[in-house]
Amino acid sequence: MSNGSLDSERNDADDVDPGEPIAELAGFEYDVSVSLLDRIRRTIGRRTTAARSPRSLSICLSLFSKNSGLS
Amino acid sequence: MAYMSGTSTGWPGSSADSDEELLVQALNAPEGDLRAFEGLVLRYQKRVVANCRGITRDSNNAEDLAQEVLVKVFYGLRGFERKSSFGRWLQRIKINHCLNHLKKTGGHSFVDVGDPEADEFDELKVKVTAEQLAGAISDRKTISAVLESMPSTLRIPLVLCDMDELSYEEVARSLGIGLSATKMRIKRAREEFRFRYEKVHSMGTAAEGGR
Repeated sequence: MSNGSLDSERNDADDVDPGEPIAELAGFEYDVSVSLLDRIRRTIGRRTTAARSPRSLSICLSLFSKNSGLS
Repeated sequence: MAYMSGTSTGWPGSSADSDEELLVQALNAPEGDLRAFEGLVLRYQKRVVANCRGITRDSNNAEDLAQEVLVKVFYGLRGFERKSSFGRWLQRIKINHCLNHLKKTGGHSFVDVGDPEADEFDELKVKVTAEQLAGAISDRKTISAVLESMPSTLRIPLVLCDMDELSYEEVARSLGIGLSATKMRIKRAREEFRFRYEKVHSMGTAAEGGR
């Protein structure tokens, strides 16, 4: 089977010279608000607490019971 | 135990060792002790926000997106197989998250096969105040404005290539377009970026000279 179209695409791609990268974009960054880290901390804390709560445990147990045919 | 200061070092290829150190500390930390993970957040957060903003052109939600990305990273830490550096892995999560966000919000024209020539460019949204025209145009503001004025079909490949430092092949794979089309878009995007960037700078210089 011929792979002519693949070869041709590769050749086309080789023909294009995208030029030099934009130096100003390398290492470009924004100042972030101080609250970003706090928000991440709170989200993780909330999810961790939710995963440990008795309600989550009872949901897990009931799902386990259902899936294992124990109910 | 030493922790990072608040300064970001971008996608730090040279600090892969300390990434690894923080990663090991984060994985071994007792539950609820986020200090080592926070060290990684402090190191990468500025770049993550910049990339989220660059890809989505959504300055209002860039921090929200960055937050979602970094929380995803936290919960994915144990599954990180270390086939690449931590920075590369985080970058992958961020790019997928931002591209999915664009698809959900309907801004998915970057995957269109259509000709980017057909896309309209927005007007440059640099508010040129008297003070800025006196030569104080912030470079960061200029870069943001130029990026935000470009259509997704050009902006996203440019951000992935020149800001995220992905190879042309990686950009093509991320966007689901051919290598040739990717190179063409990046070529045009670089030309447009340079043209518009110079234009804004010359506006500032002309105003300064005319004072």
